[in-house]
Amino acid sequence: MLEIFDLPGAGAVRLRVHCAAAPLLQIASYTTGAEQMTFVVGCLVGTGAGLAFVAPLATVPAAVGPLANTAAGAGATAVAGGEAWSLDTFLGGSRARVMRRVVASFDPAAELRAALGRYLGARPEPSAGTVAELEAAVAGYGFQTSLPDEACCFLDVRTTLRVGDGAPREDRVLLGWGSAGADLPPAHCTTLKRFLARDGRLARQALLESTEIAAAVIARRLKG
Amino acid sequence: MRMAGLAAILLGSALAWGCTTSSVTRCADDVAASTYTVIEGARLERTVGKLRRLGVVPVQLDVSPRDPRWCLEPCGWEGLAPAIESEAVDCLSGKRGYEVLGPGALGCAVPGGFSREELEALARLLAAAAVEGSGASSDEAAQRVCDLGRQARLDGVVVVQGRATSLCLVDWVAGYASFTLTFPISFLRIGVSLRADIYEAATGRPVWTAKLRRGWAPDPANHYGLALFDLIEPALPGVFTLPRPPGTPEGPTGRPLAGGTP
Repeated sequence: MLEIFDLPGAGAVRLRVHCAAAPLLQIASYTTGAEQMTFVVGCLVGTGAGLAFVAPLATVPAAVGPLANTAAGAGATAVAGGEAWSLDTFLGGSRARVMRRVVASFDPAAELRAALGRYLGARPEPSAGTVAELEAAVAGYGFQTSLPDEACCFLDVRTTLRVGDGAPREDRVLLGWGSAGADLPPAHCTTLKRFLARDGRLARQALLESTEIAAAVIARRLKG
Repeated sequence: MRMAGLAAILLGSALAWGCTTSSVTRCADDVAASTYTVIEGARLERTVGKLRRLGVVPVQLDVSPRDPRWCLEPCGWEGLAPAIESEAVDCLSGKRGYEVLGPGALGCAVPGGFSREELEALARLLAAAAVEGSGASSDEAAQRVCDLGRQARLDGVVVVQGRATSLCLVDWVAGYASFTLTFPISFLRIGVSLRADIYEAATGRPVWTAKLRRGWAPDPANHYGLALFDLIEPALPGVFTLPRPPGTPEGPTGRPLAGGTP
C-alpha cells in the first residue's frame, strides 16, 4: 500500500521514506575525567597504597591547597590517562550498552514516515497513479560528543522531490551540533548522564523528537 | 585502622567539596503560552518548553564576604553575576531554542522603556516571591509578571538568584588557630548556590524551578549559568507555532484560549 499526499503545483505525490544509514554513536567517553580520577584515587585508598598520597592533604593550608590538589589531580589523571581506554570500557560499559540499545530500538524510517504522513496529510492509496514522488532518506542518526561530558542527538534527512520529467528538487534537514537555522531548532545536547537516566529515556525521546521536527520542517518547506 | 578512617573522611570531604548537585524542583504540567498557537498535529510533549519567548531579569547574587578585601584570594565578584546572566541567555537561546530577551533587550521591549534600576527592583521582587516564606507578596509579583508579559509580548519571565561564598581571612585564622581542624568546614561552606524560577506570563505564577549547588571557590569559568539551565527542556520549535495576534481574547481563567496548546 502506497501513501500519497497532495502538493500544490505537483498534484498527487507519492511518499517514499527509507533509511540509508546505520545508527552512529560517536561518544568520546562514557565516563567523565572526575569519575575516572575518583575511581583511581578510591582504588589507591582502598588498597592502602594511596594513604601516603592522600593523607598529607589533611594538613595542607588553604593557600597551597589548590596547588596540592592540582598536583594530586595531575598524578591521578596521569595514572588514569594511561589506562583511559580500559577504564572507560570498564566503568562506562553499562552506559554504552544503554545507548546502543536506544539507537538499535529506534526505527527512524518508520517514525519519519508516520510524522511526514501526518504533516503532509498523506493517505493510503492502493495504486500508484502519480507522476510525482517525494523521497525522504535518513542519511544519519545517533549521538555524538559535542563538548567534554556532553553529547548531542543528531538526525540527517535528505529529500528529493521529483515531478514528472523536471529536474529533481533536493533538500536537506540536518538537526545536529551547530546546525540551528532559520527554521531549525538547536540540537538536543546535554550531559550523557541525563541522556542515560531511566534507561535512556531522554535519549530515546530526543531521537523521536528529531524525526518529528524534521518532518514538520520538510512539510513546511514543501508547502511554502 | 585510624589512618583508613582519616583517609575515608578526607576522601568524602574532598568529594563533597568539589561535587555539583543540580535538580528541577518544580515543573508545572499545565503551562500556557501567550504569544503563539500550536499547529495541528504537533506531537511534541512540552511543559515549560511551551514558554518560547522569555524575558530574563538581572541576576540577584548575594556574595560573602561582601568586601573583596576580606577574600583570601581575589573574589572577582564583579564578573560573576554578569557571567551567569550571559550564560543563562546563551544557554536558553543557543542551546535550548528559546527566544530570549536579556535585561538590556527586555528594558527596550517595554513601551516607554525600563531602566536597569527598575528591572533590578522587579528582579528583587520576583526573587523574594519565588522563595516560599520570604514574606514577599506573590500577588504583586504575579501582577508585575502579567504586566511585563503583556507589554513585552513574553510567554515567561526568568529570575536567577543565589549566593556565592569564598574563603575569607576568618577561615584562614580559624584554620591556623585550630591546627587545620576547621578547614573541612570552610571548604564545605564555600561555593555557589543558584536557583532559577520561571514565571508564566499568562497567570504570573511560578511554573519551573531549578537549583544548582557547586563547591570550590566561586569562579565565572565554572559556567554556573550553563549548568543551571542545562536542566530545562528544549523550547517548542518555531516550526510548530503560529504567532498569536496581540490582544487575542483570553479564556475564562485569565489564560489565553487553549486553541492548539499541546
